[in-house]
Amino acid sequence: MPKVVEKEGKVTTANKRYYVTVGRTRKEIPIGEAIAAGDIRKLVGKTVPVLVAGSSIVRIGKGPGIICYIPAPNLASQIRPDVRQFLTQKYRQLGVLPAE
Amino acid sequence: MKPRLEFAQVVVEVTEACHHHCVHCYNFWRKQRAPVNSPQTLSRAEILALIRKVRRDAPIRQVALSGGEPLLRKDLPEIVGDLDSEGLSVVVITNGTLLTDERVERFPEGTTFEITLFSVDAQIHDRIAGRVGAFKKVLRGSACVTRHNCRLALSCVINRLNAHDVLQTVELGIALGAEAVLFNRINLSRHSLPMADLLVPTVDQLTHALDAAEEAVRRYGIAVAVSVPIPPCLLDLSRYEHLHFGWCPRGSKEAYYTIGYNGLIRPCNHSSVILGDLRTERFGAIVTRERTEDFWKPVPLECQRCDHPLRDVCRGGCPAASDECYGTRSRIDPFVEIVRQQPARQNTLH
Repeated sequence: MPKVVEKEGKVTTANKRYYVTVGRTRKEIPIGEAIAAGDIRKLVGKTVPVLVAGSSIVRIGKGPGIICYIPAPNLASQIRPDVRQFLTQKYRQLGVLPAE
Repeated sequence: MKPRLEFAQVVVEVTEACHHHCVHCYNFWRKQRAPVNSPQTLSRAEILALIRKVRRDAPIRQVALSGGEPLLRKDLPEIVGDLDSEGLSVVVITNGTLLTDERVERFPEGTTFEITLFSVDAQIHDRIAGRVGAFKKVLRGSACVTRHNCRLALSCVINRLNAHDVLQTVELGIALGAEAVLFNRINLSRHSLPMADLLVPTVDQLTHALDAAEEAVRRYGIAVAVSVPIPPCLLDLSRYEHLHFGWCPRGSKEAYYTIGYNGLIRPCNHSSVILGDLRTERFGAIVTRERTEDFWKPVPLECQRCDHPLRDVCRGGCPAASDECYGTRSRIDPFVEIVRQQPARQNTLH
């Protein structure tokens, strides 16, 4: 399951197509039902935050402006073990989780 | 000519049967479910054959196994194993109550289980699930998943009964080992529409729930997706920088065409519309025919006049919900209509 990572990418355009370049990888932005060309056009030439999961671009830009349907496996996050431990203790003490 | 399709995923409903009675259940068959052993139910071999058939037309990488309750099928681990052997990522969408150590260890390591957890409060969870004792079994099942090196994502359907304790529910999910939370508002169907006033949260409740989800991401770094669309005419979504908002893919490459227990294909898991029969037709032929493409076209009249920046991705919310509730996709998502009719502030029911 790929981890979702935030990187920076540059949005460019050529031959009426739009691309985002992250590092040395350039990907075409699929304009269509889910992503409006108008929204992407505003980002051309700018460096924007890009969420990537494996080889997939999950989101371009900040906030919910340009986004896609995201299945659970493409969304996984790494939770720090001490955070899990803290919450486990908390909900054990509250009696929600059974004692060890 | 062989169609070139880019779909990355499909959903397979391996059975219509379910032992829960969730208040928000949108399955159109919920009042008349085919039993697990129905003669029409796809066998393990048929499921593999149909997925291979889909892959001849579309390079899918992921299959979600749903239902009904998929774990009611005794051969589910083997079905997952078959698909895993094909190099596919598999997600099992389950209520989680039938997961035991003995069952989970039969699944391939790394299988993702998407388990429903409605509340941190056992009574509320059981009330929403329509089954006493479900909460305890979900806790036990989740522990089994992580113990056997499988992956856990939690799914929480937000309605009026549980909108107030989202932060605590996400916290409990993290404690259980969840790597992600699918945080979806109730999506109405023909069955739940008459109860909509009791189930659909007010704007205040929805805002409170989303604020809590955002806070959970900020505090703990858990990924939260809000995949069932919340039209931006209801709420200002731009304040939620850390939530992943999803929209109906409307037949685009993010679409998740759904294969029923009997091999019939529908536009998504919410819709009852039959687009074709995968047992006798090619996947590519079904999803590219005019009738299928027409399914995605209607945009509600009021949304055509919308000037919100998200207009082109929103297009009125969930078209399948409008279709199921009103018989037309040219009317705005019933969730929007119901929320607009709600008084601004109402107490929760419990």
